[in-house]
Amino acid sequence: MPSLDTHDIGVTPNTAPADENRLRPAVASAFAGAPAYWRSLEHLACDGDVAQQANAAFPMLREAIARHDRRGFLTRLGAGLALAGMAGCRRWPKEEIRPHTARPAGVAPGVAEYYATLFELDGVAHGILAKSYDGRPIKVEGNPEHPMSLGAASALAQANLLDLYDPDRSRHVMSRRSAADAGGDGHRVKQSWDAFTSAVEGRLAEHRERGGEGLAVLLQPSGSPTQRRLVDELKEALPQSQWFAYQPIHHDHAWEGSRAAFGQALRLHYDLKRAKVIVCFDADLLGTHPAHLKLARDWAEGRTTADRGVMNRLISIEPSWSITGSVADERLPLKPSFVEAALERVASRLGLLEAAADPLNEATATRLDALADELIEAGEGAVVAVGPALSPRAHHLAHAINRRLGSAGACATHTAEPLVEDAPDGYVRSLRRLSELLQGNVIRTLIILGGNPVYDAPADAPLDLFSTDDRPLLSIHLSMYDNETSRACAWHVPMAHGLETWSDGRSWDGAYTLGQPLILPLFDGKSPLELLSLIAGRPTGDTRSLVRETFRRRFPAAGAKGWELAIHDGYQAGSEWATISPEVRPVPAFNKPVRSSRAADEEPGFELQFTADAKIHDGRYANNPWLQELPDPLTKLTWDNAALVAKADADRLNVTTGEKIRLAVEDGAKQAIEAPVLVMPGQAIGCISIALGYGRTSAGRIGNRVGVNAYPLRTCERSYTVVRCRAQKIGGRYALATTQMHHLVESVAHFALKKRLGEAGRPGLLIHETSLAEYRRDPRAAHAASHEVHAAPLFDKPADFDEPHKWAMAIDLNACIGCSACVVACQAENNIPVVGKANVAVNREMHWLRLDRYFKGAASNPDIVHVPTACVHCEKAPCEQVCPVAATLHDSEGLNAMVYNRCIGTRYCSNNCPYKARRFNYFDYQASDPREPAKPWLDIPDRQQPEEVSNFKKMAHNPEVTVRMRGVMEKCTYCVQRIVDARIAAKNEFARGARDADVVREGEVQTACQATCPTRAIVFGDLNDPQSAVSRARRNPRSYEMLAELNLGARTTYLAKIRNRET
Amino acid sequence: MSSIRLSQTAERPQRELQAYDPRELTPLVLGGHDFTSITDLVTDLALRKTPRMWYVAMAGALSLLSLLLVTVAYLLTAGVGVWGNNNAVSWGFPIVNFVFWVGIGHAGTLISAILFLLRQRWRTGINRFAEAMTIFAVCCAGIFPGLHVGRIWLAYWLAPYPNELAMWPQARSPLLWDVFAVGTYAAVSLMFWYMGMIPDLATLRDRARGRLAQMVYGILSLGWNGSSRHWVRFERAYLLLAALATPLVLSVHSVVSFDFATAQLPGWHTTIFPPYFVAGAVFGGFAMVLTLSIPAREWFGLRDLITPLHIENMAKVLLGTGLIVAYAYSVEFFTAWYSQQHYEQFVFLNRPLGPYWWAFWTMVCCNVIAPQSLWFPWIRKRVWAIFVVAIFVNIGMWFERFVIVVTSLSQDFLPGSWAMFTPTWVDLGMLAGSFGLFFTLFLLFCRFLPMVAIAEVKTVMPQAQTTRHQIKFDYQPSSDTPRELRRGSWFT
Repeated sequence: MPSLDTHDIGVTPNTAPADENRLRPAVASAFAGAPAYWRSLEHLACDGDVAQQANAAFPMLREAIARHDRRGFLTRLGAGLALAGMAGCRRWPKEEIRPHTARPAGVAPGVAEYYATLFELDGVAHGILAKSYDGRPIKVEGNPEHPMSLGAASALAQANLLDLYDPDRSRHVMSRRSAADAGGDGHRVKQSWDAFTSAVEGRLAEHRERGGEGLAVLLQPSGSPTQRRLVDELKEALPQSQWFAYQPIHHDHAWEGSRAAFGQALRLHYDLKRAKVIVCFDADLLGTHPAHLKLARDWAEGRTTADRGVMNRLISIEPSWSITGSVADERLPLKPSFVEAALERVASRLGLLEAAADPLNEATATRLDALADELIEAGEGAVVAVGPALSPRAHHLAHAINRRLGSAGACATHTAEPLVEDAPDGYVRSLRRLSELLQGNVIRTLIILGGNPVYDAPADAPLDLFSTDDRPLLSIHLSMYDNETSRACAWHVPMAHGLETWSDGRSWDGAYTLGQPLILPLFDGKSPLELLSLIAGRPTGDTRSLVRETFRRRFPAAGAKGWELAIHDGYQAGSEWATISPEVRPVPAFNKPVRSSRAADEEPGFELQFTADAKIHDGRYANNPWLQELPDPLTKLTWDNAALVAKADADRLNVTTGEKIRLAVEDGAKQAIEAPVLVMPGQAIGCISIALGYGRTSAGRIGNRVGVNAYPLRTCERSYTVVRCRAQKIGGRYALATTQMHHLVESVAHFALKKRLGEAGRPGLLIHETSLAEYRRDPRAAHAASHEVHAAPLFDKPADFDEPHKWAMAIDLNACIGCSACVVACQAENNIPVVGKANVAVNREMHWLRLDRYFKGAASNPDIVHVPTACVHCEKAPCEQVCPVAATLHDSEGLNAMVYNRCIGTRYCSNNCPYKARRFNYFDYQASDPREPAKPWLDIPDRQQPEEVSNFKKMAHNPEVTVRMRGVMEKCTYCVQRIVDARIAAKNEFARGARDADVVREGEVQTACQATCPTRAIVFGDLNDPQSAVSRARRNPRSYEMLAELNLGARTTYLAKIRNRET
Repeated sequence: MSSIRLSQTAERPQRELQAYDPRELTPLVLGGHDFTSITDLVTDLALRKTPRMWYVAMAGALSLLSLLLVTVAYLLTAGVGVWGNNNAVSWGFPIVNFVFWVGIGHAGTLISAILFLLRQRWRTGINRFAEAMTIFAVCCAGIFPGLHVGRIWLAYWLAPYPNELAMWPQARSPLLWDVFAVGTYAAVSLMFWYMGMIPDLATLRDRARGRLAQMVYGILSLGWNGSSRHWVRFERAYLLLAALATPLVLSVHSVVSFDFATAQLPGWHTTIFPPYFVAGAVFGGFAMVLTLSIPAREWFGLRDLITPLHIENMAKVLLGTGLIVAYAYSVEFFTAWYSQQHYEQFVFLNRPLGPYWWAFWTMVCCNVIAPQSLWFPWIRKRVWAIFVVAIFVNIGMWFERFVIVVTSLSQDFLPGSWAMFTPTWVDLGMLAGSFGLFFTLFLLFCRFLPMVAIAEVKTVMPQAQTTRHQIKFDYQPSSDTPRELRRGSWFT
């Protein structure tokens, strides 16, 4: 491992590397043979006569030496020993520091800089802002100027930062020693990039001579115009070469449906700002949709209008909970085949199809008919969305419905679909073609750029990458991790992280988005652009000029200044695609036989649904501890996936949460997997859902053997749903670590929940919620159940804590969708450790901000409420009065401050906190491996962290926030470091005369959770300013304080949730 | 004097048959002892033969103690996460054990101080015992708050001492009150115990044969020579210390209850806690005295000094305090209903019916139902039966603290934060280990110190009454009267 000093690795482009020898002359000369300590130049030069010369020069020195008699010697010896003993009482951690001896121009140490760059997921770029401290990117936020992120960043985009510093990242080019070692895992050797290029150069030159014959490239889909340009150039130069693309979470069905509807693959965009009625058929617009940030923002804008008495209406018909379904005004859980049948029914009601017998029961059918009528009434304000899992026909139907309603062109617009160029007939078919070609002896060289197809390919399209004597296949895999595919390939090349290299991409609406590196590649990773250059026989290494060239060609008018501006902004303004409004072809009549409802209910089999994991997506983030530990937005499950089963089905299978079942598919792949069950209220009956991406074997220390791999059940034809799946209890239990229990089961708890959360027609004590109709009648209807608070103080009036600011937060439950981006933002901002599954299982998760998810109503189809809960900064904080060492105190601005240095860990504060918002370091989580048991130490405590915390982990830490050790309590601070930053800036400006008071103004402080929230559900600011957003939120009639009856004066208040329905 | 049957043995068969005669006092010492034989009986344990059972018991106690040491070492190196505590249940076994042991420590001072002031003469047989138990229970209690903090090496910050940070402890915190309350209690109890032991230590010194024993007992007895002046000052000091210790009996557990009562957690935040805790402590303490004294009197031949009367009296105290505790339990439920406070109501519904129902019902069975058997003389007359009841009460009192701490914390205001608590092997090991510490200290005490207050017991013997009578009416001692004749009773 190379030296881990930050300046060795993280050389910022504008920082001169430190010269080691220049900084340590004594050490340098010591190696040259001279004494390490020296009195004069003569001594240093080892002149033998130094003593004599010294005596001549300093006669009194000789006297002083001669005066040492025995007594004096012993006296000094004793004193010396005593002093040495005193010094030895306290051993400080040993570490080396290397200061900037000359500060580089334009760099202020300790002042954060922000760079606009991009995060690409599934071929769609998201504009992000990376915060960098002294050359280290430490935090990812949304780019506020970017039209598709508007300041928000998803949990994945933020957590992706941690991958940059992942100690498990691949650090070397690896190769198999010989073809004969094929398949052997232990016969791989470390290589250098140069060794790699010289080894493959001959082969590539050969391919170039033959026009690319025998060369195949498998791309991880990317919207990068530069990659597109290089690929197009290569295709032209090497016409015989074959190009493929694959990703497991694909939109093949949408493309196909769009082709059926329009004759070409088009991308569908929703304008939720204008939409009045939004109906989602298994479409997670607010959660996993590639444009979810923008969609969530627009949707939320249609919710906050509740205060004016109007509000959009969201209806979700889905087999398993999605984020969209969890905030829907009405939700209908139906198994996948029924979701399609429901769509057919709506379409026939709208006159697009002939009414046919469908398997839906009467109640459902009535609701669907009402829904169709509602759609007709809303007209062009209505929009129907269909998820990628539904069949191409369903997508075709949705296009037809939107056209019929008039929303096509209004709330639903179309643009070209650029990703389809990589795989014109879809990713799955592309991969299947590659799989077939590999069976034959056609491909001699296969280059896989990114992805992990060996792990996530459909079961019936495996990639046979093993090279044999009669089939010499040269396979090369570029990847950030030495993963399953890398191990199957002859060569593995480490890939650069997105923050290490230049890149470009297109956001969902087509905006040209630029990605700039913030740090040199830590492990000498290469970008896919470099590998494409290598194939073309061009020099590698200069990705910047490749991207620049693309920019120049696309925007010739922009010039150098335009390039600078685009880099600064992170995207090129006005580069979005133009919308097109094609005609929709009629939907063909349904030709499959429809099963009767009775038969469907009695069928012994289940429908199996594969879902993209909300955290680790398709498995690529499996080694990311922040994401592994992030509670799933709906199940609150961490460190695992599970087979989600409805209560009725669980009873039928005779299983409870944690018991294992075997899932076997009856068609296609004859595979079976064993998975633990999680009984999920609101799961569609007859449908078992399981998240993809788990059960990795070569993910790294964090991701290996976490959860169950569901890919073996997936086939090319059944990418998202398996219609016939057998489930069977196999006995045995598996411990699932959830951060919240399912309290619906316990009868006593249910009594409390009904009162606290409310019932039909009666608002709850904690969760204030009402219907739009009620709210229109009485804006305070949601608070009907809460107690009247008598806040008469016993003694003197307590302090107001309002000098010079009065910080407060307001959380709009009507806007919160539970996406969990805020949880990751908080974790990244505040150096919150990951505790590992074993500790989550005993409820020791450290997230300062948790999203309480409450079910309400019947277990078959409950409502969900998401309640972000963190420290509410009570003015009369119960935690403060019980701390025996005064480690938690109030400041003058109302922050309930936590003094980590002073905390001895009695944990009384946590007991006395009614919100249980405090988190305790039961172990030294920063220093321990989340997959291992806590490591005991046998050293003085403060030595532990410097020595034990991984140097890579340290690099990801925010230097403005203390890293807490074991035995210390911690909690939300309202991002006090950001407040202090803003205050310093304000004071400096005031001192310069640039502002009239040395106070922070509205908008200058944003907490981490607030900044990243896609729906702007969180506002933070100063109550002293009556015009601040938080003051306005407090005046909102929906505003309430949770547990107000305790008279604590919480500074975080909530805005009641309004559901757009009758009751 | 003929009415006192000196020949009576431990069982009192004839007495049952006779009609109650108020003139007849129940003897507090049986077995026809005189002053010398009493001294022999007690000092022989310390100075001569060690019963075999002592070695057996000590082996068991030491193995439990080593379990404590192992778990503590593991705790110190790995962190407090080795326990089952979590975000919701931040206090688990350590605080349960702490309150349990502090409670045990109550009986000693109650017996030695309050019963002394109330002239309960029967206390003399068991007071030394109970006081020693108090000290050791407080030792066991004392280790838990210290070990329970997250950064043990900084636990001294709880102490008010001038320092460079100019930081003082935060006086509003009940944990700080605890430090003072338990500290004061431990100091006064130790003083009381030791001071009361001085005359007996002098006896041991005088009878010791080995040089080392003579020196150690000599130092410990502080030059006691039994002079009248010593006795006068001793008795006065003893009385004063008893007066000082009496309020402490009430204060310590009241303050410990503030740890809970001043919090605002439903199930903790209640005004009944101070008296309820004190009664519970006396209840649990007497149960522990019984648990210790019943085997000890068998094994160490003290059946004549700790008589069935003592056991029965203690059983009566157990019954009385048990009734107070049962009343407190029921009043808590009444208050929850009467308050119409929803969170409070949920807690008290959740205790008997929620996930920790087994802990609650164990507590009720052990603390409320089991002591009711003591209404029956048949039970009270049988030492083994009382022993069984005492064991039940010990278990029940531990569960009482478990119920209070864990059920209240695990399901409080916001259902989103609810979490279950499951103890780990370290939790259980430290609980068992604390018994190891307790029994080790207790067995060492039995072996090396006077288990029964020799001098005090003699005052309740008939011989002492007779002599005192004579002194009172017939005999005026002068200043040169030999000390043996001055009081004639306490010294042989």
